[in-house]
Amino acid sequence: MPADAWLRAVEDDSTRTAALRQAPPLVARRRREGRHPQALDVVPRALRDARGTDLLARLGGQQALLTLDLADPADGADPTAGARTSTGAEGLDRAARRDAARTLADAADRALAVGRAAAAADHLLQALHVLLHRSLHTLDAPSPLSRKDSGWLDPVTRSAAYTRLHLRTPGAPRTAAPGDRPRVLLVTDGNAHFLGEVERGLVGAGARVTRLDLTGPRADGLVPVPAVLARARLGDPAALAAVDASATAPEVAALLREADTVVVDWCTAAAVWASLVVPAGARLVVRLHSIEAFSVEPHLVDWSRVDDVVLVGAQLESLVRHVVPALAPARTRRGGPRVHVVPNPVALDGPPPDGRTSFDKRPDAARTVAVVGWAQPVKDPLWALEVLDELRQHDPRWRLLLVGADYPEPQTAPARRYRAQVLRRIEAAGDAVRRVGWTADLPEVLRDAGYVLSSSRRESHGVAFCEAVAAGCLPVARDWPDVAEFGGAGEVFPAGWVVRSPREAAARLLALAAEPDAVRARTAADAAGVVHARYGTAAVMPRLLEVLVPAGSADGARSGGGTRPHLVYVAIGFPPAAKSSAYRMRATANLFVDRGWDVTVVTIDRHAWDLEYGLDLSLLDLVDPRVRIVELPLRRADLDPDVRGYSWFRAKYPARWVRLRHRLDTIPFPEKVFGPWRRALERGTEAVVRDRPADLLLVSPAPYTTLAVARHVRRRTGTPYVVDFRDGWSVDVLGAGEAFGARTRRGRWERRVLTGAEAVCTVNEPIAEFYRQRYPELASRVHVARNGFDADLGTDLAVARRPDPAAGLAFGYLGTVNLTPAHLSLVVDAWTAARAQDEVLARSTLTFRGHVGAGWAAGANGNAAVIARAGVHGVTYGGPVAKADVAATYGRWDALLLALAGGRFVTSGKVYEYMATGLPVLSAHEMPHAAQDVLEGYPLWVRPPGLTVEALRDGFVETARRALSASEEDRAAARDHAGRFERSLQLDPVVAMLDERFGRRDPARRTEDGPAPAAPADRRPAPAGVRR
Amino acid sequence: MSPDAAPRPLRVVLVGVVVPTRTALEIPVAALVARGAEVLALLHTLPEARVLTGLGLHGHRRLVLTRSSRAAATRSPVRRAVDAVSYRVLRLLDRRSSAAVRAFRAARRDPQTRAILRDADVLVALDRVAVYPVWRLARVGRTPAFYGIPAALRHLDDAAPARRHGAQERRTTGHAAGQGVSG
Repeated sequence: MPADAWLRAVEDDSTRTAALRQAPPLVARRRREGRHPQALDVVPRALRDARGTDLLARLGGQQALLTLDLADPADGADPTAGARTSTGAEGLDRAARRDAARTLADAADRALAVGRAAAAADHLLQALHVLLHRSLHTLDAPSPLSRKDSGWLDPVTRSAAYTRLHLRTPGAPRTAAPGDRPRVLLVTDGNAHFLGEVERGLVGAGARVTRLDLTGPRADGLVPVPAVLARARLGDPAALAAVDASATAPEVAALLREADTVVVDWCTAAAVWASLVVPAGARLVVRLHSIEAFSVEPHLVDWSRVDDVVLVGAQLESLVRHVVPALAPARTRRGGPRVHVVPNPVALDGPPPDGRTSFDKRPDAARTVAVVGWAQPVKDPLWALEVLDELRQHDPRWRLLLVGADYPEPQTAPARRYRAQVLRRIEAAGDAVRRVGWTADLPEVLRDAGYVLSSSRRESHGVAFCEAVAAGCLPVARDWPDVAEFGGAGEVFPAGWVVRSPREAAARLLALAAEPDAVRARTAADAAGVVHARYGTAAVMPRLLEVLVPAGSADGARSGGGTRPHLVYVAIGFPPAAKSSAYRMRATANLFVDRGWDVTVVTIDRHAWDLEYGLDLSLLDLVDPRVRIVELPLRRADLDPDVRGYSWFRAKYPARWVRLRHRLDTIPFPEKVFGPWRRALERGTEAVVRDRPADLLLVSPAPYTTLAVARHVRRRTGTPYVVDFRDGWSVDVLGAGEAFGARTRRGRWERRVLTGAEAVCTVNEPIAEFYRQRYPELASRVHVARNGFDADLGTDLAVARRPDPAAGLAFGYLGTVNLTPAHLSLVVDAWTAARAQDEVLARSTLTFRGHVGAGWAAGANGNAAVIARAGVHGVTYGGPVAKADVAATYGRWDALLLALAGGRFVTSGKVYEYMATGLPVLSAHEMPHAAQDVLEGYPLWVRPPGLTVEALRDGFVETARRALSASEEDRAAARDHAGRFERSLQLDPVVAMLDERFGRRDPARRTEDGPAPAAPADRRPAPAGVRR
Repeated sequence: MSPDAAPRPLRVVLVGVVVPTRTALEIPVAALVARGAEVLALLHTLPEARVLTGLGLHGHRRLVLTRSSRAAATRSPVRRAVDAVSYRVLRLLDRRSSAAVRAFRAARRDPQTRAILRDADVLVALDRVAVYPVWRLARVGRTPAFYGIPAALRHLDDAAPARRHGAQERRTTGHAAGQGVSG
C-alpha cells in the first residue's frame, strides 16, 4: 500500500483499525527500500491513534530506527571547518533510544509470558537493532559500548525474553573424536578474507576441508533472515520449521551431516543459523573478529550449542565477554563454549628478520608515514591527518601515504559527512598526502614509507598493520579508543608501540626519525621480528589447529577416570525444580565439583514439579555440566490434576480423601505425602551407590523421608552420610518451639538418623543451637551453612534504576508468598494507609512476584484474593520469576518489601538477594527474627518497631523517603554489606570441611566424636550380605 | 469443511463453584488465549463484573438451577407442567445437596450449558468444589478434564503438535452454542 493511500485509510473511521495494524509492516518495507520520508509520514500518524502496548512499542522502535538512519549527529557543526568539531553520535538523544529499547523489551516479556514467541522475538530483535544501530557504533564517535560501566545493553539483556533466548539447550553427546582425517566445514557469510591461511593450515594438517559460502551460488538465500532466526531461537514453531527446511536442503544437508567440525568465520547470521542446525554429533566453532561485537547477531547465537569461540585479540575477548552475557566468564565457567584468543595468522614471506636485516627503503621513506586500509570511519583517517599536521609543524617534509581501496560513498548521512570531511582535508593537504589504491604487493608500495600508523577507533588485530611492520615500517599504534577500557592496542602490541594522542604519535615518530639510519633499521627489524614471532602463520597456526581439530577429546580428560571422590547427593528439589531449595542444592553440587568430586544427584522426575511450583529451566544453565542427575519416577499423587483418574470418593469428598490419604502415607515413614516414597528412594539411591561406590552420601531434607534413605544406604553399603538439614525437622520454625517430642515416632527416627550422621548442617545459628541442646552428644557435629545470594549468575543484582518521584515509586516483593492471609492483609492495609498519608506513595505501586499457591491453586489461594482486592490501591501480582530473570525483576523496582513468616528460626533466602540489590528494604515480620542478624548493619534497612498497621504504614513512608534520598555511596555501602553473604562464601567452609574428611586426601583424619571412620568407597569392605 | 480450512480453536471450559479472583484468572486465561484456545467459563457464583471484564474470556454462564427457557417458549402445557414440577423437585433436592452437586445439576439441566460442554475439548475445575461437577461432566463426553489451569496449559502444549495435522470438526451445529452467552 502506498503511504498516501495508507494516510487516507487511517483518516477513515471504517478503515482506521486495519490501517493501524498495517502500519508496522508498511514502515518496515519503506525503510528497507530506503524511502525514509514516506515511512516518517506514517509513523507519527500511526502513533497518534495506536492503542495497545504491542503496537505502540513496535511503532516507537521503528521511529527510533528511522531517526537513527537519518540523523547526522554533527548537524549544526560547521561543515567547512577544518578542525574536528563533530562529536559524532554522542549528540544523539541516547536516553530516548534506550527508553524505546526498554519499551520494546518489556513488550517482548509480556508477549513471552503468554506464549507469543514470534511477537516476543520481533520486539526483542527490534530493541537490539535500536541499541546496536550502526550510527551509534561505527562512526567517528565513541561507541556507548566502549565504556564498561555504560550498561548500554541492559534494557535488553536484563529482560526475561533475552534471558530465555540464552537458556542453555540440553547438551547432546558428541561423537567420538574424528579419525585421522577430520572433516571440517568452513562456513562464511560472504567474507572469506581471513580464511585463506586457515584453510591452508587445515589442509596441511591433513583435514578434509569444504567451504560453504552462504551467499554463494550454492546456498544463496538459504539461510532465513535474522527475524526468523530470532523467532526460532525463542521456539516459534513456524520459524523452527523454516530453519529445519534450510538445514535439510540438498545443497547443505550432506555437508552438515558429514562434518566433524563446523567452523563459522565471523559471527553473523551464519553463526546463528549454524547454532540451530549443526547436528549434535559435530563440533561447532565460531570465530569473532571485531565488528560483530557491536552487532545484533552475537546476541542471537545459541552459545550453548557452540563448543569453542575463537577471538582474535585479548581486548576483543574482554569486550565480547562484557557485551554478550552468554559469554561472560560467570556463564562459561560452568559449561558453555570454551573461549580462546588466537590472532589472525599473518602470511609473511621469508625467514624471520634478525637485527642485521635491512629493508630496501626509498629516500623519502624517512619522512613518510603509511596508513594501510584507511577508507572507513572506523579506521579514522582524520586522526592520521591530525598526526600529519603535528609532524608538519616540526618539519614540512613529512608525508602521509594512504594505501588501500578508495573511499566508497557511504549509505548513511553521518558516514557521508565524515567521508566529505576526510576528502576535504586530504585535498587541503595537497602533496603532503598521497593515495595509493589497493595493491597485491604491499612490501613494494611500502618501500616509500618508513613508518606505519594504526589510527583506528578499534581493531580486532590489525592484520594490514602487521604486514606493514613485517615489511620494515616502524610501528605507531593508536590505543584504539573503542576498546581502550578493555585493554586496547596494548593487549595486541608491545606497549612501546602504543600512543594515546596525535601529539604523542608525532613525538614518537619524530624521535624515531631523529635516530641514525642504522638504529632505525635495527628497530624496524626487531619490530618485524615481533610480528613474525607473534602473528606469523608458523606461530599462530598450531594454536588455531589445536582449537579447530583438537588431538584428543576434552571429555575424556574431564572424567577423571574414576579416581575422583564420588558424592551421591539426595536432593529432592534439585534444578530445574522451581523451588527455593534448588539454589542451595545447585551451589552445593557445584562446590563439590569445584573441589574435584564427581557428583551424582538423586532427585525425582522433573515433570513431577509441574504439579507443584513448576520448572525453572534457567537454573539448569547454572548447574555444572559434570554433575550427573538421576531422576527417580516419583510424583505426588495428591497433586495429580487429571480429574478423570479420580475415584468417586476423591471427586465427591476431596477433603476427606486427603485426610485419609495422609494417614496412610505415614505408614512407611512418619511423613505425610512423602512417606510412600521411602522404598523407591532407598532402592534408587542404593542402586546408584552400587553402580559406583560413593565416598559420601549427602541428604537434604525436606522431604524428611530422605533421612530413611541415608540410614538405609549406610546400612547396606557402609557409605557415610551427612544431613544438610536446612530448616530442621523437630524444630517448629514458624511457632518457635518443638514440632514433635523426642519419644514420638518422628522423634525416634530423627535421633536414629542424626546419631549416625557424620555432620549436620542448618541454615542459621538458632536452629543449630536448638539441635545442639536437643542432642548434646552431637553438638560438635552440628554446623551452620547459611544461605546467600547467588553471584555466579552472570547478571549483577545491583539495581541501576533511580527513583522518579513524579512517576511514583515501585515497591516490590520477590519470593514465594507464603505468609498467612492475615499477615498479608496487614501489610496491604498498611500500604493503603501509607498511600493516603504520603503524596509520592499515592502514585506508587506494590508488586508481588513469585509463587502464590502451588499446583491447582497456583495464583488462586487466599493470598491471591488479598492481593486482588488491593488492586485499586496499586497492588499487583506479576507471576513467578525464573532464576535467570531475577536481576531484571529487581531492576524495575525502587524499594523492597521483606515480608516473612516465622520468627527467630526463619532466615529466608530472599533477604540475601534483597541486600545484594542495594535497594532500601522494609521489614514486615515479627521481631525478633533470624533475618535481623543478617540485616543488622545494612544501611538502607527500615525496621518498624512492631508488626502493626500503624508501624508498617510509617515504615512504608520512611522507605519511600530513603529510596528518594539514597545516594550512590549509600547504595554502594549497602551492596558492600551484602557482599559477605554470597552463597558460595557461606557454603564453602562446610564443603571444604567435608572435602577434607572424605575427599581421599587424608582418610585418617576424622573428628573424635564422630561415628567410626569410613574407608574410601573402593577400599571399603561390603557389609555382611551386601553384594557389590 | 474443506481440507485446507484452518483447524477450529480448542475450546476450554472453566468450571468454578467458589467465586474466582481476577488474580487467579488473569495470567492463566491470557496464556490459554495466546495458545489459540476459545475460553468459556461456567461459574456457580458470579464475581463482580470487573473481575471478568477484559480477561479475554469468549463467554461465561452462570451455573444455577433455572426454569427451562425452551419449556417457557413452548405452547405445550404438558411440557411446561413437567418443567415446573422438575424444577420444584430439583429445588427441593438442592436444599439438601452440596454446592458441587448443585452445580452439576444446573449444568446438566441447562441446554445452553450442555451445548457449551458438548463442544468442550478440555474441562478445567477452578477450585476444589468444582472437581465433582467436572468429574461427572468429563465422564459423559470423555473430555480431558483437569484440576487447575496450569495442568490444562500443559495439556494444550502437549496436544498442539497433534492438532496441527488436522482438528476435528465441531460437533454442534446450528446457532453457535455459548457464543457470547451470559448468566
